[in-house]
Amino acid sequence: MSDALLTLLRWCLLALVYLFFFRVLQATWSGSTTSVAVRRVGAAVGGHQPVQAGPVEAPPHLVVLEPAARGGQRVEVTGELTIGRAAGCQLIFEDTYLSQRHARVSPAEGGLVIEDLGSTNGTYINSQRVTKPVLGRRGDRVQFGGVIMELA
Amino acid sequence: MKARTVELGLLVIALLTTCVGYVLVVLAQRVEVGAELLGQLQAEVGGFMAIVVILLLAAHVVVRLLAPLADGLLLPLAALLNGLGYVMIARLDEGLAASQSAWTFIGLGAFSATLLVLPDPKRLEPYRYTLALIGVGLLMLPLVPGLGVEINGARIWLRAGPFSIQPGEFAKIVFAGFLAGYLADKRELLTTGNRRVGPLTIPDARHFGPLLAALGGALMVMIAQRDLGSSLLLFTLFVVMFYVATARVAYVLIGLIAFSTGAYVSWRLFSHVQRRVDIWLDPFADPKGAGFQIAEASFAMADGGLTGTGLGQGTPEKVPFAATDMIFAAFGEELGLLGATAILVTFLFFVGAGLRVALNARSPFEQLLAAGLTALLGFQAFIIIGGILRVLPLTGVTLPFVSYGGSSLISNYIILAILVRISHNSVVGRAEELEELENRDDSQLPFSVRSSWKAVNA
Repeated sequence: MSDALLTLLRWCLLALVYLFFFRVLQATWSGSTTSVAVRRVGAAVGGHQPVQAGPVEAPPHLVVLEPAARGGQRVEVTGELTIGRAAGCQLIFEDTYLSQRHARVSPAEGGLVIEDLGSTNGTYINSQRVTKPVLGRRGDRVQFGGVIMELA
Repeated sequence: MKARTVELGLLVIALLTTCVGYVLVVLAQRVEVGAELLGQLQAEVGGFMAIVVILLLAAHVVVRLLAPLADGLLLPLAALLNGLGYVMIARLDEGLAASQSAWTFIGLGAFSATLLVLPDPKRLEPYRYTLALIGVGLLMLPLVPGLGVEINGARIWLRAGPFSIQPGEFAKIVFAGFLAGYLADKRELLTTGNRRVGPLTIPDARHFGPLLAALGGALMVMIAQRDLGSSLLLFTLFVVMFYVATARVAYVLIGLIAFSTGAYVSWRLFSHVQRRVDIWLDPFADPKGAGFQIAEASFAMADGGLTGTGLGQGTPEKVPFAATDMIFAAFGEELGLLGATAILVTFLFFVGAGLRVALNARSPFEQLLAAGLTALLGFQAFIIIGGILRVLPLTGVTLPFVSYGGSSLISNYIILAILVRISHNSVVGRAEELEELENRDDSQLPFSVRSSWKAVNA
């Protein structure tokens, strides 16, 4: 009798552990491990898109296309950042066509504000020269001298 | 369903599992077949088991009070590990089980205290260099004559009355805090860099300075103490957090090269490292001597097979340090591949839950801290389980939440508390942003948000 009981309990133990795992996965998939407040936020932004970062869509990243050596590098724009060759810039590239302080990028609702800082070779957004601050949106291509980046 | 409801449900299953395990141990070991079964069960099962179960339920209440919006998976996963570990320790050594329930009490006390005194982990960010100093200080304490004691060839313990404390267990948390603060500050510089070396652009050495000083200092101390497991863990923490902060694979490669060089040099220099490697390569060269621990662990797990010998029915006590470092082998023997896999899966889920906390955190510091602490726990489990399974040379670290050990249990509960706190705060942060959105003048919102906002409110 004792043997049968032991075997029963043994299987009971394993069954409970795997029931636990099943419940963990279930909770993860249904998204109910995080609290209600988050989903209220999600609903507020609009049902058509899943919300990752917050109530307002997060500003796009800058993704480097050229120079190829740094291709694919993602730069998160959390505040104002300057691009250029000077050591004081937040984003520094060794590019012949880039000015010391070339341009400024700052996050805004719906995209990034791109502003040329009087560079020699100019800043272009989708091949259009930037003369005053311009709002770049996700998918736009920005060129600073020889440096090309995409908003993603 | 609310996060706390999920948490309670999972906690009940975890505790039920623990209780079934405990009953099994008692039945298999001591209860004679016969009429007295029920009476004996009552006498044996009470006591410490009840303490552990009640404590873990109390932890749930504490979370309800102090961090009601936190992720609901973290605590039950830790509870399952702690519970199963407790059952195995009780099965191996009753005396240790008594102390372990005391350590669980203190550990959950530390959990509650951390939730209470650290309402906002971001406040630690400015104290990053203080944290680095505290970390190195904690590591060096056992080297002070009179304070530290050497146990099993490593000088990493402090003697405090009848107990010994391992300050290194707490130092690793402090180092994660330092790294999170440092990297949150310098992240952009380290990501982009301004100096070209071959195909890489790297930042000036001055940005690396404090970091390398802290890492170098800590590793030197650990090498002097012959604490291989912890030095490996700390080094991994550095590399992981660097990668998380910068997303540059180059740092991982540099880390790997540095690690290989360091490992080779210490293999050439230190006989105790050579011995570990020799045992790792062939534990059966000297199965009764140097390779005894690993050989016995391998035999134990082979005995277990798929479903194990059953709790209390194997002989896991033959493996030296079965209740601390080698506890995974005991699970392999008595619960078999299914049970050992369950332990691994629980760690996997814990790491997943921890990384999700990191992803949802509101500030770079909290993100890095959560990722770093999760990495600590996950890699510590990997280092010891890998050591037992002969994936890596065996280095003595505890299996988080499972192994017997006061310092380890307390420090892991502190890690758990910080993760719970960060996940609660990130939900609160989002709710506050929502409130701002609600109170905002509609005309200032971009059109796309405004229209969907109206659609929701309609």
